[in-house]
Amino acid sequence: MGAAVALFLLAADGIGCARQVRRYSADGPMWRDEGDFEPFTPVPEVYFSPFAWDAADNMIFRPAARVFAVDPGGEAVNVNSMDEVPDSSWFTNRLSRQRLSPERIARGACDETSLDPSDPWTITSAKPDGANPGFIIEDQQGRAFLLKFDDASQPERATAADVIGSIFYWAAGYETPCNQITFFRKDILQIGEDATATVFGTKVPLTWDRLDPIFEALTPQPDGTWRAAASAFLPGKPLGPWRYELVRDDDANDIVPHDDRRELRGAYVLASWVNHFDSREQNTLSMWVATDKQGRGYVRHHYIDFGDSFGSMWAIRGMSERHGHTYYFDMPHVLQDLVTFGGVPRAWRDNELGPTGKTLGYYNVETFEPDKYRTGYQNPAFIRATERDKAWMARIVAKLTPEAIKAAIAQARLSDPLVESELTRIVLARREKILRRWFRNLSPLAEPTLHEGERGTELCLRDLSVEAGIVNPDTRLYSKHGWRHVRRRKLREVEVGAPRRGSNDAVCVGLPDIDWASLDDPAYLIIDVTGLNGREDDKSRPARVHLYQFGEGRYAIVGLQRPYKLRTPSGRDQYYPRSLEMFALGID
Amino acid sequence: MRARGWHWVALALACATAANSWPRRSKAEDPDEEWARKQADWETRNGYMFYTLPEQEPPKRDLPNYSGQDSNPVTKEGALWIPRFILFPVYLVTEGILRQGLGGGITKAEEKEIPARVIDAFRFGEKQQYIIFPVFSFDLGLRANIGVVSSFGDIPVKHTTLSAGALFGGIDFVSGDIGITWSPPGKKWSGALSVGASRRADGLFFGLGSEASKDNESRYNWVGYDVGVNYTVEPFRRGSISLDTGYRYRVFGDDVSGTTIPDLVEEGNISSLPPAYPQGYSAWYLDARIAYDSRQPRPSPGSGVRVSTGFNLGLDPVLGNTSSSWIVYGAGVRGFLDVSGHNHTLSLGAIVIFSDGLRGEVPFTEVPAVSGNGPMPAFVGRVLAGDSASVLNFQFTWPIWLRLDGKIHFAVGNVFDGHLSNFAFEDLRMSFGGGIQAHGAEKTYFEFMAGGGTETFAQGPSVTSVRVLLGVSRDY
Repeated sequence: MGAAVALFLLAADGIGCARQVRRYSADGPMWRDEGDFEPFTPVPEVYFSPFAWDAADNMIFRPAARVFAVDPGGEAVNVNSMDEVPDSSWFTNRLSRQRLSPERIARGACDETSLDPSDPWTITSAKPDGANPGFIIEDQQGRAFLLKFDDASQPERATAADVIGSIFYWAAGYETPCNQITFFRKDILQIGEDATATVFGTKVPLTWDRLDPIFEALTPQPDGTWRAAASAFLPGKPLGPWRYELVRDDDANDIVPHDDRRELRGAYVLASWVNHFDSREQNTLSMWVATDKQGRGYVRHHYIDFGDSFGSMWAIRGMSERHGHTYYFDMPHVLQDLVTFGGVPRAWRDNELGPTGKTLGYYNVETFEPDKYRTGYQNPAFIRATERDKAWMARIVAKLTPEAIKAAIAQARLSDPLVESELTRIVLARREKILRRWFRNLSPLAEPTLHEGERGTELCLRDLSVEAGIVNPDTRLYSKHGWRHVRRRKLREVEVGAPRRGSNDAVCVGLPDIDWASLDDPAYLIIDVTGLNGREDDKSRPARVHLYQFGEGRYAIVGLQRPYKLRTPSGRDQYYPRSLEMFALGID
Repeated sequence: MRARGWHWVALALACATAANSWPRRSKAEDPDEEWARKQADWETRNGYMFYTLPEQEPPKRDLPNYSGQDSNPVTKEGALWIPRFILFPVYLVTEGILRQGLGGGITKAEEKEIPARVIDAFRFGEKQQYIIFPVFSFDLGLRANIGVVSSFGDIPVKHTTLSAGALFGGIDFVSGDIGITWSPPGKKWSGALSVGASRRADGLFFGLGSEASKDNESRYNWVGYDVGVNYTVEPFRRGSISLDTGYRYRVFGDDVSGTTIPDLVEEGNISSLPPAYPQGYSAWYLDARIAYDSRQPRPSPGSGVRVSTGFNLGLDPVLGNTSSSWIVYGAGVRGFLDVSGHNHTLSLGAIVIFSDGLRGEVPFTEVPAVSGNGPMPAFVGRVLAGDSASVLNFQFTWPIWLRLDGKIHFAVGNVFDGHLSNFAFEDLRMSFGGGIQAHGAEKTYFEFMAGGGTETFAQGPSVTSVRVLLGVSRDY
């Protein structure tokens, strides 16, 4: 059956060879999906997310059903002409279109005022039992926070993960709560009048007797304070988790299947980076944001819990080593191991605790393979993610500089310098692995801009491989190619100025000047710029920029493509011969 | 016919459920023609659609032109509709019935916290220390059965565990036991007291020793009671010393369908009724075993050596035509080589077991057996039982999941008359098979095994025994 399906796909793919040049609109890229913020009524119902069924469905039933659906998937739907994702209720371009200072990144979703541990806090409810005990407090300004604590076997890890994870996800463009580390004295706590505790699923009045076990399981700081991660309540009305597939029927703006949203697919790369293996729908939250007094509003989507990241250890023997490498129950892996007598090498067998012992668990560099990463169980959006979706997120990760990463990790206020340095080392090394992998098949050149120079108008692109330090700028070579769109399906080659180094390690090429181009009859140009790793490199692919020229020196960038294959924009020929002219920056 | 009718009713209900509950992909209200076409293309790419648009839900907005390109992308759907059409019935079952139907039901149940209540019924107590869970077993040739086992921590006193179990395989297959185990924390020893009773009608008898043959397959029923105490100490790695003593009662009968043991005698297939049949026996017994095992507990690498020896002394002062006493004793050695350091373990072991009647003969259910859970597991139950036994067994086990191993075995051996007196190479049989088995649990574990057992080399080593075992096995 598989062969038959492959044959059909092959036949279908053949149709694609006859593609034509698809021009982009002169209106420019869509940077904000305005319709996604359109107010509507009624307020959607609260979605109940089934804990057990979600796991069973995504481990067993959904994968089986998707096989018989014969739905091989495709590229993400909500991608604009610049190969980017427009702002929406799901995602905000933060690093994608601008540079943020490390200080701003480190603040994440938090505003200027942090939780003040010198004021009295009122406990409104508590969950003293279970694997993740904690309680909810209100500060003097009436703000509500969920306080979460560390497990004694992994001191400071869970709280650090919640803070750092939220910063990384926020910087990447997602909506997260403001998570911050706080140290407080127990005597600032007071129990609210109607406070309740949930004990084995039953609500009972909250008393100190119920709270004491939480503190008994913790280790106080040397100064007698207690360390916690304070997660600020999100504004709006909670509607329950959002799903990683389908759309909500009762959300008028929700029109793109969630597993076809690029930002949800691309989150795979972020999850793999921090080992957020618990990337399931229960760790998300939809909020109803009211926009007027008529009850209208829209739904905003958040990631909320990152406490499993950076090496969470489970009590089930043998499970912690597997996190990130295989699903909790991974039928293909089980069957492969059964029929091969265990002959397939498995990363988790070689996992060993690092110098921090259990604190960072098995969060390491050695066994991390960016394209083989697996969450606890299948995530519908991750399963559908394509190379483009992952490369998109990798470009964002590249813009999270080492300085910003260190500033974010500093927010975790780790007391052990070894843990902080080791965590920093692993995060940076995994970032490098991610960039090397996801920049391999698609161009890392990004953010095309126009600059006036001595050679006329130049097209400049950021080379994220160089910026991130994964290729040597001194040995980096570039090639360029250009076409003018003559008529449907027809292209004519045009001369493109030799690449040169622009500011901030950007690569710039001179644009051809079409003398007849005018506002009424603009020229349509397609410029390929390729970053090459040496003269023998025939793997790297170009960044293909689409422009209009409206007159002398008047250009507009309208599109950016990153082709998988070395084809002309019309898709007819192989080109880029091995003898391709290559340029080192600064040498014409 | 009736069943078929129900099948279609269920299918129709599932379709209706799916159609009504399936969260839709988007649908525009009045999109212009071009975008309607683009959206249709895109929806087709994303699988089968079921549409209902309840009136109370807000109308969906149109799908914007995210890419800003001036023509539709070339569809790569091509001929995918053909496999989709062919596979639609299977898809309908997996998606419509299982995911939407079953999933919808479980979701509703979770919303009403029914699974939590069910789990609470099986696992409860202040520290969740009381556990009850179901077991089942299908062992080809034996009666399939279901049951429950339970464990109650800190009952009757701290550091003791009260356990009880019951199996049911029909009116003539009932078994139960109850016991108390004492395991002081931090100590390497434990003690146990247990009482059990069984009534089963699926006893298999193939003859004893050299008379054992597939051609002699016959059945018997039996009733038994057991009471015993155990003391176990684990002084070193996986090594152990175990002492058991107690009282055992058995009585047998031919109240079964098919060939009985007396039929075998009547037809001349065996020379006489086996010892203690049908009158049964009772015995005070003392069982002592000692094992040296150099392997570390998992997940440490599994290389090492296990040497074990033991005896079982039985004294029957009461029942039977004449009182009797007997002793069963043996020794085994097995070498393990973990070829990967990750518990991909080759092992080769040899075992010999003898039995002697100290006074009278050894009851046929007390003589050594190497089938069932023994070193020749492709033979069911006590098919291979005799006054002495010798087996050479090769195994390979490898991890396939958490606490789940793949396992294959190949064994050569058989049962013989006393002290291997008639041992001959051509009288050996082969046992081979494979499957999966849980590890980590001491007495109750999941197991699946399929295997084949042969006649003796002298009879031509054709496969005459097939064993398929699936279930939660319990070692008593």
